[in-house]
Amino acid sequence: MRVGLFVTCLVDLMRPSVGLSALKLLEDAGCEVLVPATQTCCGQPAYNSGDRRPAQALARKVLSEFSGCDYVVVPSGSCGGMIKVHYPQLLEEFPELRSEAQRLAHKVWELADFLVSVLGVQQVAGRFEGTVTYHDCCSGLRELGVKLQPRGLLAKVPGLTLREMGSPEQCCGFGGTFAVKFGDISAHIADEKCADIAHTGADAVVLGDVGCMLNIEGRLRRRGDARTKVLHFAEILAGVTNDPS
Amino acid sequence: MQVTSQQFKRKAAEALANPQLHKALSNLRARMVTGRAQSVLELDNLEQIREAAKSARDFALAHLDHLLEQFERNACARGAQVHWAETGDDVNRLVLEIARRNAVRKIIKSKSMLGEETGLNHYLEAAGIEVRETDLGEYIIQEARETPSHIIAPAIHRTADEIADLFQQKHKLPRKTDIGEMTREARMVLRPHFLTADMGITGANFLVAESGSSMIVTNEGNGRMTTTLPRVHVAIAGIEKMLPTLEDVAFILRLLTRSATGQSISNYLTYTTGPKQAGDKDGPDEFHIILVDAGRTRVLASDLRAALHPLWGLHESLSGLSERGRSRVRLGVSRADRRGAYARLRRAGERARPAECRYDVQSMRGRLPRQDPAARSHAQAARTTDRTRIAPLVRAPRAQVLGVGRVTARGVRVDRASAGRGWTLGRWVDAADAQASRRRVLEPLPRYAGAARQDLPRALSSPQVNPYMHSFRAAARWTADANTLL
Repeated sequence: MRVGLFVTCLVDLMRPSVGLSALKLLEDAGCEVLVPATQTCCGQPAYNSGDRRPAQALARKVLSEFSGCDYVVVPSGSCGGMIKVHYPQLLEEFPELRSEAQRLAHKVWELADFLVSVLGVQQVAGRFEGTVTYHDCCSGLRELGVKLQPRGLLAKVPGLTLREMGSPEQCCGFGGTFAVKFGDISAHIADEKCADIAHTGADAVVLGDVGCMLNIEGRLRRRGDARTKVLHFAEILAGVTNDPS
Repeated sequence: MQVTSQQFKRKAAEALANPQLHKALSNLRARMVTGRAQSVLELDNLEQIREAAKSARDFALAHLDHLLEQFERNACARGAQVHWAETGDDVNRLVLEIARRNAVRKIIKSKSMLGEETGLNHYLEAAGIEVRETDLGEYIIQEARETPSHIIAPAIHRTADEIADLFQQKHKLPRKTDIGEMTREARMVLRPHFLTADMGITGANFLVAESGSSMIVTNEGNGRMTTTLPRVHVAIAGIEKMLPTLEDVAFILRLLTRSATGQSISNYLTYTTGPKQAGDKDGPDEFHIILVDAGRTRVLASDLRAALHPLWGLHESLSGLSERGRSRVRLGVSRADRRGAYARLRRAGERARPAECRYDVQSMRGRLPRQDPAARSHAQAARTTDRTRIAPLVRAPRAQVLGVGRVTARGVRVDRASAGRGWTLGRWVDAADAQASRRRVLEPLPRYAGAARQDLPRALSSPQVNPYMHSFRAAARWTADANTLL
């Protein structure tokens, strides 16, 4: 089973350990993993800003890089959602590309969803002593239906206790370009999320998207919280919970 | 209503700097979000109800022209007068005309966001008519000369202290501190207005095509009194509020009250069908309904463009027809969008218009809907129509023929040789000038040709959803027994 790993640009640039953890999880489960070396971005920032041409160019690139895979796994709800849900609309003026995008869409899986629904992973390598709380990333939850899968996987981690925050489904305030265009509103929304996390008393907040991760961690640190860790579930499951590289 | 989206960032910064507003909204959210989460636990089949409600609404929007006409017929049959407003200014003008014709000096209003949209209150007050809001939150902001800050809780930005000060200033009564006492004071102050008003204006949560009714959902009882006490009642409603049957309304209500305020059902559900009938003890002498477009047809027509893509609609409709019905399906293209956004189906046996019409779908081919699994099953069902011939269509004046073709499973194939001169399907144009507005509201809407009552969706067709009817009847009894603020 040839599984293509779409690492996402944020992982590549900001948190490579997430990509490496995802790779480890997939290989431990017995997949033959391909990581096309020329991959970059899914095109979502350009698409959301109305800049269709560059977004289409990136989409074309993604389609050609991952055409040879049986599955394409993405450790991010927003990039996964972009490829699976929005590529067909983005490429609608190119009928052949659009049908290729539709074929690809059937092969795209968010990482937790893939591990649970396709691979049926029962054991994980990681351990975590302490309490964590889980934040549902908007795109993963609302576009790809990722809610129970990461929680199910975290439940298999020895030593880990999951404590739900008051509103785990509430947005963290990032919203991609939203955080840039409406910074003060975004910061307030992030404050509410950080207060919610602090209220649980958890040692770490776990999530599935590096966009949310950067936003929440940045806000936590600026609020003076140097203690709460912010981790991608792939890092915990693979046993890579040191300081992010 | 002042549109302030250009100043969004500045206004957002102001709102963020208001800790009282933030606290009030957090409390409101806690109440309403938790309320909703708890009240939906009462439903065993939430997702099915949502699907049924969604399909009722989608159907209604897709067949809006037909439902609006049906609504008008049924409402008029019960003695209501139906008016058509193309713009917000038309709404204001029509209300004022009705008020002048009936020598109205005081108006009471139940909450209407559409009234906010058109600036109705200011317009009427400028014309010298007293307008009194009767919903408590709206009453408060009317006294404070503000605009609502929230659709359901318009005065949420005000603290109890501020409201107490406001009441003391306006009512000239000793200042109250208890919220219950303030509510009773407001009730006492408003009661004389209810009893002396000449006209009542309400919005509508829904319009019901099958009975020609407008309906509102309230908790305070002001809606009840506004619709029955004054001698004239005017309901203003956007056309998108239309639903086909009372059952569809009942469905959606199960979700509406839970999602809006976390209530299983509101205290009052008020259905208004016609003015006082012979033998009624009370009710208004006149009941007017103003159907409002104000940009909605533009939005609906553009959204529906994709939804009513002729081939998508075709697949769906064909699979619903019997074998015999399919063989006589006809297809038309509206002139309004020659690129083929609209099409309509005529059933076999429909009375033909005097001219011939053909169509061209070559330009539509590039926009064939994607063959997603749902469409594929329809397409498979439609495959038996391979031999269906699209007969030349009925011609109307100004008809535009673009070609002739055949329905196949993959879409419609055009006979090149048949491409003829252009004809457009004529619109159904009403002779009387007074109907001009009506026509212009209906015109942008895609035409729905099915007219039989069995076309209307039966929201309760699914057996899993049927059990709901018992609890709806129980809830209706409960509503009749409820006697809170009155």
